Amino acid sequence: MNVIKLEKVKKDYLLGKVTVPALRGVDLNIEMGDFMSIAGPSGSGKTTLLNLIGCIDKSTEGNIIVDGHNINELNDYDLTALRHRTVGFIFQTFNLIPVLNIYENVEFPLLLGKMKQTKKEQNEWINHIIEAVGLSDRKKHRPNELSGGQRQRVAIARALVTQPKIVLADEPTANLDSATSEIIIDLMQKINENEKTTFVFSTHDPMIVNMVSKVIPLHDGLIANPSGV
Amino acid sequence: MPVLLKIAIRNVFAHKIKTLIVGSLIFIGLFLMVLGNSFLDSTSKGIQRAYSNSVTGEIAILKNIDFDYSLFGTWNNIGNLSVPVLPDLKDTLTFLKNHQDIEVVTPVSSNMLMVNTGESSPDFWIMGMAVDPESYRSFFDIEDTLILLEGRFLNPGEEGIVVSSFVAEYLLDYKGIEVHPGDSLLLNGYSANGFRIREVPVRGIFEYQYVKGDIYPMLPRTCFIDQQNFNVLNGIVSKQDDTPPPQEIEDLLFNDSMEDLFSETIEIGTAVNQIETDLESLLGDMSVRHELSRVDNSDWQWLLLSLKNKDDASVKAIRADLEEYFNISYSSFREKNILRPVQIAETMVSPQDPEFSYISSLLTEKEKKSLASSLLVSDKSALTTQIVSILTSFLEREELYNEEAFRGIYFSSITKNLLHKPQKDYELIRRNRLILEEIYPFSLSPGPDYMVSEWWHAASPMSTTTVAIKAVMNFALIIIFIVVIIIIMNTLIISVMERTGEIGTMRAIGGQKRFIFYLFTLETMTISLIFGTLGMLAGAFVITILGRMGIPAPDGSILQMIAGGNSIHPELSTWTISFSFFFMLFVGIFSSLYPVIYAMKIQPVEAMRQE
Repeated sequence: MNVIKLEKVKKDYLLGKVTVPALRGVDLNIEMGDFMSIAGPSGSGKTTLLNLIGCIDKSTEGNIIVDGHNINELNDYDLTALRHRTVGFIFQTFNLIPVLNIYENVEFPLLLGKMKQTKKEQNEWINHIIEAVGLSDRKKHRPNELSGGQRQRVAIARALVTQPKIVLADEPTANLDSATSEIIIDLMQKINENEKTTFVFSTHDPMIVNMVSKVIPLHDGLIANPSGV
Repeated sequence: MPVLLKIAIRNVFAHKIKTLIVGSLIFIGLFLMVLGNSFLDSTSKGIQRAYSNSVTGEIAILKNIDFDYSLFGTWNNIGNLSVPVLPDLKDTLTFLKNHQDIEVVTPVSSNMLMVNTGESSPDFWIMGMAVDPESYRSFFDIEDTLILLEGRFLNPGEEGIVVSSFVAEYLLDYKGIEVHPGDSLLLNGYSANGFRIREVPVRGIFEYQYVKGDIYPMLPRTCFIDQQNFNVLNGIVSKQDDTPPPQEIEDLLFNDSMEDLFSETIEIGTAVNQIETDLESLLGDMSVRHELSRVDNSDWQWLLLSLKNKDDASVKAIRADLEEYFNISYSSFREKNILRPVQIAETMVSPQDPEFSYISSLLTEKEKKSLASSLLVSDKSALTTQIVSILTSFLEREELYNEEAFRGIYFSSITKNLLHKPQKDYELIRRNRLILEEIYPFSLSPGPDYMVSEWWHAASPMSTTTVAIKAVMNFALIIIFIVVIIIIMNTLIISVMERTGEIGTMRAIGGQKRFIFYLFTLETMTISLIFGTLGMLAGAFVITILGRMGIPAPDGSILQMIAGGNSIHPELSTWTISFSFFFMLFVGIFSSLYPVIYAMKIQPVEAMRQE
């Protein structure tokens, strides 16, 4: 089943008065439970593609269907709501909220929408996720008291807390050393196996490329091998 | 949402520089505001208290005139216009003295007078304030409000002037004239009725205890004078004097009968000689001269009212009450003569009209007959004329005019007239007016056309100066706040720019625009509330200390003038506190408006660009 479907997607950026094409017609299907990576050199359009999949940017041309919705047809409010329930983000720079502690950071996305569980269930669920990423003893710490690897684990927990259909990770290991990177990738792989959560990375980290089940090679805004794998 | 508050409050502490810049500006702003407002508040109360207790009373009544006129003359053009005298004073005085909210009424008049300082030197002007010593004394508690340096205040019915210390010193220093009780001053008065000169004995020298004047010299030059001399000097002479002239004057002017005057046998030379001799002898006799320029002692320019409740709200209420009283009686007097009968006649041409039958029930048999015969006239305009004439004659019956219901019909007929005739037939009114004037050539004398004003009107321009000073101070405060808002706005914008990535992240993981709006508004409001409250407390603290100690106002300074005394004791009012509080909210909201809009425009994709 397709979670995300891209049809002839083009994206141009304006650099001053010059139009720079970032994506030049991308067709892509992402299926439930995929653990895949968009790979390519700098400037190949990895992040742009990820932004479009994550509904935080709109394409210049072509359709993007996320969870059955054509995002070009949604307004800002509906798009935000769609992101909230469908997509989890893991950023290269972690992007935790500095004034909230670990528990509160993980809880934060839940507070942005309507509460579906009781307070108690919610607490248990948050604790479960924090435990899953191995940070049970750091719940009361602020992000600036943690190492890079720990911060990224918090970000993973935050991305998973809303039980999204797809988690997008933009170069999640770029700011981590290789040992930590491996632990982080392992963690996500386990979650993918256990929870069937779809993961899409954008990276040029060969370790990730070796660990994922699918690689989408991106070159100059086009998928080099349209057949996938 | 509690998470919003949590983030907002923690951000206040996390972004220390922003918080300190915005906070200290709001702190200083609110501190100055509480200080400034309390200061202005207490000075305005001080000057109001001082003037209403020593010079003007709470309410001052004068003739309804279309130029600015205060107790200190016309504001711009002293002495150039004729002095407005209150008409129909006797009835009004009775009404006011019986008014339940009024404690004391005292009449006063004032105008510029010249002190004749000899031929070689130019005259020196003073502000002559005619008073009724008896009521004035109890009205202003002059033992407290005036410092008598020499002599005493005027006694009832006594001629004389009580000179201000400023005038006495000036006359001594610049004119070499020593003024003490027992001396006399030669005063000149100029008015529309000509030039008058009187010699007035000095009774005392005084100084105001609580009110001071500096920029405008009217107050220091104010001297109390008896009404008789004041009215003579200002040409306020009796207009309707029914008492016969004294016998000697009558003898002088009419010693011959009319027949003798025009008889052929009269010896003109003898008669003229006789008159001249009599005049010579008369000119030596001051009592007759005084008799000739006898004034009506009911002519005054002002009525000052001291109220039982002196708080602002009661003063306003009573002022409105009196205004209504005078307006109704004035307009009804006017319309009683001309307009209303016309309007009634226009609306009451049908005998079936219930108002008509009501009026006819009030009429005597004779009046009814005359009305009935007028109804036989078929011509509508003739009928109108008839009814007008009859109604007008009814209006001369006082008991009808005083009848509540009858007056009610007046009002209803006017309303009817306005309702049924939005385009008023002015031509018809004019024609009826002409008919009326022809049939009833009675005088169109207006009723008491009075203007009711508060202390500051009577105390102009001194009071208006303090208002101007306050306006300047308020303007300065506004400028400060505009600058403060701009600086706060700038600081907030920079803060929002620095947090672009954070805002983008919140948006990316599902935060709606309104979440960003609430977050940043709350942050600014938290800073405003914390530092604003601290600023207000600091201001309140300083005001409390200053209120206990008092700020000294040196003699002759502007401070003394706006303080209305020798020291200012600022005090906090609920108004100051609540105004400051709402102003703080306003500054908080207003200065964060643009930064918040800016923050809301940040796109979620910015999350990816965070460094």
